[in-house]
Amino acid sequence: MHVRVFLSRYRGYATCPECAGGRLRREALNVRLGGKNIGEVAALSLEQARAFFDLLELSPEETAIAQKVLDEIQRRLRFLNDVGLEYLTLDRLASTLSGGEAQRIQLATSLGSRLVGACYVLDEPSIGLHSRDTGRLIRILEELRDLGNTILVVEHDRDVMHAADYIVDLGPGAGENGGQVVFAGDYDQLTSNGGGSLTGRYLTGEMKIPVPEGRRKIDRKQQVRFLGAFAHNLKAIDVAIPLHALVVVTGVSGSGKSSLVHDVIYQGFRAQHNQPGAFGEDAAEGQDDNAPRLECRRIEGANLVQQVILVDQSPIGRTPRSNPITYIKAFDAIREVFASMPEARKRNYSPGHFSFNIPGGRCETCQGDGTVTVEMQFLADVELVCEDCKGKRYKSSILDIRYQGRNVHDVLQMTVREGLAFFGSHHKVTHKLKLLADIGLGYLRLGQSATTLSGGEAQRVKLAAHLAQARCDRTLYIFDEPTTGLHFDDIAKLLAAFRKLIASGGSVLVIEHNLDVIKTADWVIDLGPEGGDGGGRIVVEGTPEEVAVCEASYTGRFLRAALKI
Amino acid sequence: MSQEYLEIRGARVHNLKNVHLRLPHNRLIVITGVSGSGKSSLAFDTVYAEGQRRYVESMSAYARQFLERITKPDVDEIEGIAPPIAIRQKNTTRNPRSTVATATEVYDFMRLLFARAGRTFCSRCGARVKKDSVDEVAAQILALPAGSRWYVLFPIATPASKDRLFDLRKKGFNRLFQQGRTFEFSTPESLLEIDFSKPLFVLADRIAIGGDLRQRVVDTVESCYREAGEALFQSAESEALELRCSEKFECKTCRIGYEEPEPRLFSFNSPFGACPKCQGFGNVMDYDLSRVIPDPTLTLEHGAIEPWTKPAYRKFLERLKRTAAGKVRFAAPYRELTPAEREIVMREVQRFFE
Repeated sequence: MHVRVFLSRYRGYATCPECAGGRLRREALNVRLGGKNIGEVAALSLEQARAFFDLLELSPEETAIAQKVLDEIQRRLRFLNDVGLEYLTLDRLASTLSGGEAQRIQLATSLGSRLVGACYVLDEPSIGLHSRDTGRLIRILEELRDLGNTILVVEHDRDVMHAADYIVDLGPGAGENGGQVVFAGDYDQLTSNGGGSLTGRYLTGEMKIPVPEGRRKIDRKQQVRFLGAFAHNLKAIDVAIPLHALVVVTGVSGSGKSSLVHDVIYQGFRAQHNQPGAFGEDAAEGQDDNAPRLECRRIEGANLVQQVILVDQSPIGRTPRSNPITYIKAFDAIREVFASMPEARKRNYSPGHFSFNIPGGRCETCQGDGTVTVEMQFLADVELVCEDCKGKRYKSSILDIRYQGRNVHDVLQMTVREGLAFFGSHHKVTHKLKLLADIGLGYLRLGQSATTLSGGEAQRVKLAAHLAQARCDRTLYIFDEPTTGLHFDDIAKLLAAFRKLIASGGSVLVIEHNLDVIKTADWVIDLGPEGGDGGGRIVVEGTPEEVAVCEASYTGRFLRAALKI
Repeated sequence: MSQEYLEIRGARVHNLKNVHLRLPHNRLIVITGVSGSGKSSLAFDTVYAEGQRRYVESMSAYARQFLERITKPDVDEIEGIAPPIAIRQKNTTRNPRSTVATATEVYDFMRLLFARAGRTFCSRCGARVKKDSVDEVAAQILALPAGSRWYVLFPIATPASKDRLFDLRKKGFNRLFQQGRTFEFSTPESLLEIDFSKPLFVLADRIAIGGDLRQRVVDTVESCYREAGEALFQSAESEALELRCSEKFECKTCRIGYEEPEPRLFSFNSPFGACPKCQGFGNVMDYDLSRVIPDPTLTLEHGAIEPWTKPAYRKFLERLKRTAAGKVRFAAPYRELTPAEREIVMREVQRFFE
């Protein structure tokens, strides 16, 4: 190999030798405040920075010119600490923050702006927060309200509901069965007289996710061990992941859960198996095209697992052409049903004619979109319903073909549940649709475009696709906070799906804060004890009962209440 | 607020079934329900979308054309809507310059604080860099031992032009000063003895500490600053004893001038503050340490430096072993090496890549 080619393999972005990553010219670092230059201050965590600025003493003249500025800094740092981000450093790149962290930063910034009379609309701010930190988040929301703002929160967390002044419960079901106000009033009314509200029944304990009677036995021979994991803040820890069980990784924010699961375990497997990334789009999300790297010293027992699949909440597709049934590959079977109709055979239609993605049967005016986009020069593009097919996506000759009185467009408008009844005798179709219905997606329309699915829905569609593959054997499924966007009732369904995966020979590894999930786990690995530098160790591992009695574990304390120990 | 409720009538966005709802203002309101029950449709696609739309409508037609035209949500009426702010679970930042500090505006205030209240220190000797204000100088001089006598001088650039000397004389400065000797303009022949290759000063004043001297010192220092930007107090008793003060922002010992801190000096997004090598990114295209040393738990001996494990390049490791024998522990994992040891290794790696 040519030397140059060889050396280029080691090229990449390296820390700037001039400023050592501090980004500033040297002159700027000659200026100090409280003994630190601005680069050193920026390297502090939000918690340390708060202490630094609180203890900063200014001379009387400096106070006169800078006290207001100092006040602003102190106030903002206090908010950032209060939303549970004390482990982030000031110079942390904003592009590397998780969705939840970014949201909470925005929340703290809004609070800093002291706007009055606004209406804040928030989407599940408790996601990614350990039960310990939810209380602080609630105080922030209350503070924002007391400034004179209206706060509208979409939320499933029990504690946030308890703190709310007013609760609106929508339902009763999902999709077509939802969209009605089941209840509107305060927490006490909801729990005393919820009027059939599903949320109310879960809150009062009338309905609940049960603690499983028995747990799966952990087989010590069936486990993968990661020795000396050192990614990010992990302190060279040895972790064993039992297989054929539901394993939950817990810990406060920043304790190293994601580092362990994503960087050590997922990347480690990929490095060992040299998988270019399981399931296309999941890997494509990662910004680096680097080969996966081993972030631990050694992996033992990796051969017990054949493939690793990360099921995350990224969208299943960015084009409106992708939809739930194309994703789980049920549409192929439906097209075959239509192509097998006598009328279709007479006209020599193949299953391909019933696709709206390839030329043949689709309406060529809108190319199967159902809509035509008109460019309006300076104004935003306008979408018009296609004049030729009237939004039905197919040529009229194709729509003539009917199965039990319905054409292919009608079928795309059905919900999963309707489809299940409609295709009753076609096992190839119902087998896959049933998977969608089982994990609580019975309300989705078959042709609903992927762009309109929520993150939680997308994740569950992916889950169904994996279940459909039916080769769960020796597969490790990794989920990062699968309860995002899920109501108590949906969590029960998700847990049922997990059981199914394990029953067919798979293993499930989950990062989760939700106590309902943690208490049903077979094995819990609690990281911490604190976030950032104070974390990265295993506080306790074992069954939920064993974790609950561990004094040092924050998770344990909350688990005790959930398990009623 | 005049209206106490946000009132929604006949919302039919997505799956909402003609929803009527009154939500109290200035309250914490939770919207809940099973997944897909229409929570987001109500909060984001109805309340937020309508508020946003009205806000945009209120702008001038010119401004509106740049904003995406927002379609009206399918709702009969929304009353008492406040300007909405959506805070979503999404990290949309892709900019490599954005950090937690800049995103929260903390950095903007930090820049201001460092510019106003930061203290500059000389990069060579570490002494405080500051301007000497006339008042500070006066206070310092008045604190000197009473009765001590001082020459107040300011330098003139050598070789001094004839014009400059005439000019000074016209302004009323009558004496020049060099190495303890004074030369008077009134006796021109004495000026011939001045050594113009050496620093030359103008004697602005002679003072003895004591009494009400303040105004005089202030006047003198001001005129020194006006002429030369600095003033020198030299003891009449001992030539070595001197006090320099300057209105310039410089290190008084090393005489290195510094720029006065301004907020932009601390901004890595401004050419005034950004590191000239990396333009404020903090990274440069170079060899990537994490690829050169993929596994820091390995020892140097066992191939911590990945490229040197190849037979063709083993000689570099051998060379390092010779040159750094005793200075670097070859049997310890790389991650346990001290910064000093790492520096020796890195110097060799650097050479390898050049």
